[in-house]
Amino acid sequence: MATVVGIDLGTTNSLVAALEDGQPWVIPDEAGELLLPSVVGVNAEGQLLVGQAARRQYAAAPERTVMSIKRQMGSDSLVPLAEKDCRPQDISALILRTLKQRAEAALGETVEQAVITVPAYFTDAQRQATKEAGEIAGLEVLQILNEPTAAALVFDKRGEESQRLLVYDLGGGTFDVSIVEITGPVTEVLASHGNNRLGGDDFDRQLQRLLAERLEQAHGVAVPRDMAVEARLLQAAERAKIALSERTRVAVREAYLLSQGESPLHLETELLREDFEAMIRPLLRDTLTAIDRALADARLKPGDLDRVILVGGSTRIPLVQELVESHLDGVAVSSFEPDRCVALGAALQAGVLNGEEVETFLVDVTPHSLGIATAMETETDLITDIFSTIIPRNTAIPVTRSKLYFTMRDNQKVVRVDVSQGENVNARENVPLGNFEVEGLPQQPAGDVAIEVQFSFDLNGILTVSACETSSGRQEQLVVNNASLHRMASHELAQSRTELERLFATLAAEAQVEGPDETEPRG
Amino acid sequence: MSDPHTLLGVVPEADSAAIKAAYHRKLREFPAHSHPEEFQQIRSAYEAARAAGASRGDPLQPGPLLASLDAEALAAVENRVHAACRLQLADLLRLTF
Repeated sequence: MATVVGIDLGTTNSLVAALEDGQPWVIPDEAGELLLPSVVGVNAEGQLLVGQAARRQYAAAPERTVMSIKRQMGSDSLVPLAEKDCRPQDISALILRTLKQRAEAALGETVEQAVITVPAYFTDAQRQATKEAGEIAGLEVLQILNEPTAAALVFDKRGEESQRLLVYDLGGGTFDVSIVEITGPVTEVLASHGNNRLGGDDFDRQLQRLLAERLEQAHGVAVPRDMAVEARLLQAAERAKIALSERTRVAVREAYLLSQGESPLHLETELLREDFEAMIRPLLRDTLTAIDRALADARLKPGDLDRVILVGGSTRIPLVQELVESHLDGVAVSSFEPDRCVALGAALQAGVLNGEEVETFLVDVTPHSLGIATAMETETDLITDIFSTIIPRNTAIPVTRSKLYFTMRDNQKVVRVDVSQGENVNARENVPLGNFEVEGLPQQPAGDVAIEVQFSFDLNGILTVSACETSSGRQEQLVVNNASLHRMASHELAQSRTELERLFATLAAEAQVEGPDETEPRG
Repeated sequence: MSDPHTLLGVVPEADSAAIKAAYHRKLREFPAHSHPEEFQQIRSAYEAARAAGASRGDPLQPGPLLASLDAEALAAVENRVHAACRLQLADLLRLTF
């Protein structure tokens, strides 16, 4: 039986895990490191760097280094690397390919299939980009699994009594909260909510701005918009943030940061934990609001929870624990393998899908509502673009739902079905997924022609929409995110793979073994 | 589709704990990843049986039908507010010129 791995493709760090005798374990690199920094770069000689080596060159060569690519997944933005504009999924593929090689070296066999995790609140486009990254890296993605769900799968205090957990997952770039009910081997997600742009990166940026202000105040100069200076400040900010989880004050010293005429300028300042906390508190308050919404969606009160599990590197910040504890007063809060549990859970699910002897049954939900644009006539006005939900958020998947809609005009010939994803009552404000038309409707008075719109959403995030005129049976169909219909044609995929192979050839030329690095992992 | 209680294999009077236990038994037999069709039937039956139990149980507990009506009512109110705003804006423009 070929090995299937679980991959946690993180904003800051990525991991790969496999199953051995039913137990998941994280596969280390040759130096014994479990975390692969999610950083890709090219050195001065044009060689590809992935992981710690790329991370180490960031402050010196930010223009040749790509960090936090996960935040751009699903967007059309292009990132320059090695004299080529790369899509976010190309960069992610380099990270995935490195993890694939790591697993193959450790397991002594080829690895061709994987379960890759994403934030629960990722949209369709972000999931699709992640799946594509896996394919470019030469992995068949068996499932895109939600990160907090993966974390819940490894929760080990399982009994026949149901336990309700709240998984609070604050990572480098994204935040998720999921409410999960565990009964023996059954893990059921009741609700998920989150923010795709909130994490440790944002805390680093805030501290970076503060350090720049301190530098300007100390020397009376404006900090130039220089990538190298910004990169050094950002790394200093990140180190300070990590230190402030252990200590209440930390000294920051960065020598030769700027120069004024002939004389070099240094940054020398002290940061207090309370200043840092005051800066991030408003961001953290949003996470508490998300907790309340997830609870409301699950129709639970805080008192119904048995435990809160903190996941993700950013939950090491004492204020995070403090705020969650006081917000959910009386519920036990614990941290459990915050860096590793997502990868471990992904490996477990990979084992389940591979037919191994793993007693795990998972029911997950779709975090975003799915629906179509409709119009409505009032006494005074025609209101268009009203979002009509067909699959409400937090519905267990896979799921099929349908609704009836009616024509608005006498002798209306065509209806247009605009499909989108989101929670706004105004359909235009939601994320568009596609559209199609049903033509040749029977000529009838307004409201007499009924169209049944059916949504089917499967475990891989493929949405099939069909619209059927009920009397004549005229039917049209749209498949969203079907791999075969996706904009990336197979020859493009082949091209991306070739490109990746070429880049990797330059990596292989370089010795990959490097000593363990002193920088500690962060979230 | 047959009656939800029959599909789950519970009596119509079954309480929520019995309904959930039956749902979990079926789930282990037909997991979502390998039996998507069966899973959806089981899940629909579970939700229907649970809703039926909730509506005849605690009268203070709002049934799911009521909750979904609420959302639509809310949307309708919101639309009316939007319409009213636009109307007022139109009046305002008329008054101005």
